[in-house]
Amino acid sequence: MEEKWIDHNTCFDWYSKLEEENLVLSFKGEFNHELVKAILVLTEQYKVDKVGPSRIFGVIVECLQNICKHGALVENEKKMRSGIVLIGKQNNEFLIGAGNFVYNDKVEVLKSRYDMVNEMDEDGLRQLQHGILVNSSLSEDGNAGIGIIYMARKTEGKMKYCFQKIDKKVTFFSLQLAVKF
Amino acid sequence: MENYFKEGDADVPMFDFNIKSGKMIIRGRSFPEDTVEVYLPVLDWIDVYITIPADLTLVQFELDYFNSSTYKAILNILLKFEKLMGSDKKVRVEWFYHERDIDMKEVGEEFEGLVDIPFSFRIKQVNA
Repeated sequence: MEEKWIDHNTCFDWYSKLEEENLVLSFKGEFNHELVKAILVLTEQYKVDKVGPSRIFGVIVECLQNICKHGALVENEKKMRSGIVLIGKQNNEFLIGAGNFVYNDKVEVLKSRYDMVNEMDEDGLRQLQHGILVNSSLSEDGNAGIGIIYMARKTEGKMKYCFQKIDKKVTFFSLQLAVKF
Repeated sequence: MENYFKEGDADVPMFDFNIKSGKMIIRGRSFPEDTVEVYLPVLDWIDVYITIPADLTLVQFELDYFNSSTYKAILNILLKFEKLMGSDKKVRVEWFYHERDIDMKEVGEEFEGLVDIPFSFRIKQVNA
């Protein structure tokens, strides 16, 4: 083991940084369904009695399951769906940041979906969602972008996202959402 | 035919479907890893049930929150029960929501608009 991979100051710096950003929960590592369940259990303790649980936890679930379903397998020592999630709470908003790798050949489709959905108003989103609901089958993987529509409908303002190309194979996709409660 | 009962979990709601009383309860959270695995047996059960339905079928949704693929599952459940409309048996939906959870109420109203079954909306008692 390398000497001093993290010292006490680093630990406190990280803590202070998270505190400054009003983060209530952060995780970096492998994403799978068990993790999604655990994160939900942890976030549910932050009471959201003004709007009830469906909006905020619905969006968090969507963000996390997106990474599980569409994240690229990162080729380091073990193949895994690696990513990061940051959940903050300030004033009357939950802030959710999620980041994961996607394969370069999926970027165009993903970006155009987000771009399209982000341009639409509530009426358009509702109609699009209902159209997909009525015409898709239960088994269709990811329900053809319905998760993105769902997030857009619950997000305050527009969704913020960014694609950073890492290498020939993968791009880092980061998404920021603010959800009022 | 037997009643359909499945305990809920952190990510899967409880299903309590009773043939004799006609009461179908879905309660909890729904964001399973595999939506088909959870909901296909429910849909298959309903296919048989609607051939021998109770006089009144009351479908009660008491969900805290759910993911986007559960939307499709709920719609499919409703479309199955909708087949009872126009027969001599009755079917109704009761949609529960926490008092301040207007989003959940609105989701119910959207489903109401997508199927031809009478809905009523009920405020869910919050557990202490």
